[in-house]
Amino acid sequence: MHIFDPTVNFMGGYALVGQPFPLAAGLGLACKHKKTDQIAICFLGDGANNQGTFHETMNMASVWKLPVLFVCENNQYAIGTRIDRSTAVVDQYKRMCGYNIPASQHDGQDLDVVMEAAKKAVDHVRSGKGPYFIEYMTYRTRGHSMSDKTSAYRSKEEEKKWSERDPLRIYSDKLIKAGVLKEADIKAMEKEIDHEIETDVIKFAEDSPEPRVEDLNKYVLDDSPDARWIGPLQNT
Amino acid sequence: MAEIFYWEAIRRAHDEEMARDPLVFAMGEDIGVVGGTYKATSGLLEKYGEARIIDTPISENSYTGIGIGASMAGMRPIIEIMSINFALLALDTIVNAAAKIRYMSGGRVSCPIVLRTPGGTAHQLAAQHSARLARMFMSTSGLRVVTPRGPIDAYGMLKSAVRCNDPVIMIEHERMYNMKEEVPDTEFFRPLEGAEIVRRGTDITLIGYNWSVHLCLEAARRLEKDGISAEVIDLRSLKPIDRETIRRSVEKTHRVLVAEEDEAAVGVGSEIISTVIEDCFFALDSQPVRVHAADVPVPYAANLERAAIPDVEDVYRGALKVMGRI
Repeated sequence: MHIFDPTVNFMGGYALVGQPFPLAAGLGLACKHKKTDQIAICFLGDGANNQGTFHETMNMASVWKLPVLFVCENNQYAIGTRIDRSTAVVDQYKRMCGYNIPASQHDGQDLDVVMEAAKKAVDHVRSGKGPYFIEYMTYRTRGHSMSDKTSAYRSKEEEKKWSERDPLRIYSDKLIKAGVLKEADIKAMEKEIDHEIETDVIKFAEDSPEPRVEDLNKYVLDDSPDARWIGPLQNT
Repeated sequence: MAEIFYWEAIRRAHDEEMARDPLVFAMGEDIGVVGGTYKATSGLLEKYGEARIIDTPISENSYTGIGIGASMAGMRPIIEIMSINFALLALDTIVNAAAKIRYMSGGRVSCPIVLRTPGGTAHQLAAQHSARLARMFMSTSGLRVVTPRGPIDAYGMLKSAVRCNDPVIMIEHERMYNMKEEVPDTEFFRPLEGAEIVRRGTDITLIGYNWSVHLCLEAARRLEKDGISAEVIDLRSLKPIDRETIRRSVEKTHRVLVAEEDEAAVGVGSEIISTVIEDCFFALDSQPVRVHAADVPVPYAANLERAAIPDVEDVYRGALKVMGRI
């Protein structure tokens, strides 16, 4: 659920929808303060944009010109509620007018389009001009959770339409058309990847040990605190 | 050694820690140009500039979250929330983020923030500006909660809190900012953990924190005239609680009272008396007593506010009850 890997500056996956907005802006503030050339990138869904943290953070990120790139994957559903039933302004990039943050909307299914837009946005943020907001139009092909039956809120036709625009399919077709790969190469790669997942990834997960019960209380607070700051106080 | 106000002690700690470490910065509503509602950051904007003394919009949840995010990248923010009532708006980032990120990341990312906020009733600030809420934070794993009772602890604990690697909630009090105390001129630190025996006695242990320590001390002076020797303990830290100091005192006096400005339910008194019962039940010679606020939102009218909040008389009478004198 909560994946972190600070060795590659991946600062966490969060289960509170909208909570990462300020955390990402804070990481951006640290980058700016330390004068590194880093930027913070915050991934979000359209559903998160109706939280107060969205508005609060966009406002502060803009006022303080924080180096943060907000990447909105607009899949048009907040779990099971379609965007036009929950959100007054359906095009998310338009909401940035209220915060004076440059923003743009793009096809999220075409890798080339995604990369080109991302590059422009990263360059903008890295140049010190403050935050940028990208909206990629996309779709969630399956349910939000294990208990989510998508048939309750969207049509088979709509799901079919979007499955035909699968980003992997679109890019494979491009590569074939350009003569870079043949259909057989794609099939071979898919087979190889399936094999890797089955034999390496799943096996690694299943063979990995459970955490030790005696470590239950570790990591709550600093496990080796400095007594100068922590104490305890000596009553004389 | 000079006598300084509580707010000056906090300001001095900010100043020294910011001068020492460029990663320390402060943020909050009106802390820069205005210098803080309680002057705790006055003059620091001129000295450290806008990048380190940050005036925030009125967006408690997100500016607290921005401070937390900055701390995850090694910064040392001191976040001021003007009143603990507004900290309710920031509970998601405090409780769901700051308190849990260290655990969720297996110790790889920590959130060394200091969050300072006054909690307590002042004079007629009414229901929405008189919250206390210490009990809410002391029940949250992953936080430290400290309650300095005067300028020495305010200065020394804030300095320790800035250097500590854990998220620290420092609960101040609106009626205490103008309290004065002799504070040494040379740098010193006060530990974040450990209750302090602030008055020695043999007949009853009076336990308080923050403002209620002063009620206990005044009540102890009155009890002395009745021939009752009261020991007074300042908890100082509500998370973790120093059970050992409490146990030792109660094993000596055999009687205990806890004074809190907050309502009783699921509160500091409930917690302390539970630890007494667990740790030294057979040392008790009488029932423990909790002195606490009435179970009402804090009223505006001065007479009702006085009736709702415990005072010295309430602590004094509570102690007489423990002693079996009334």
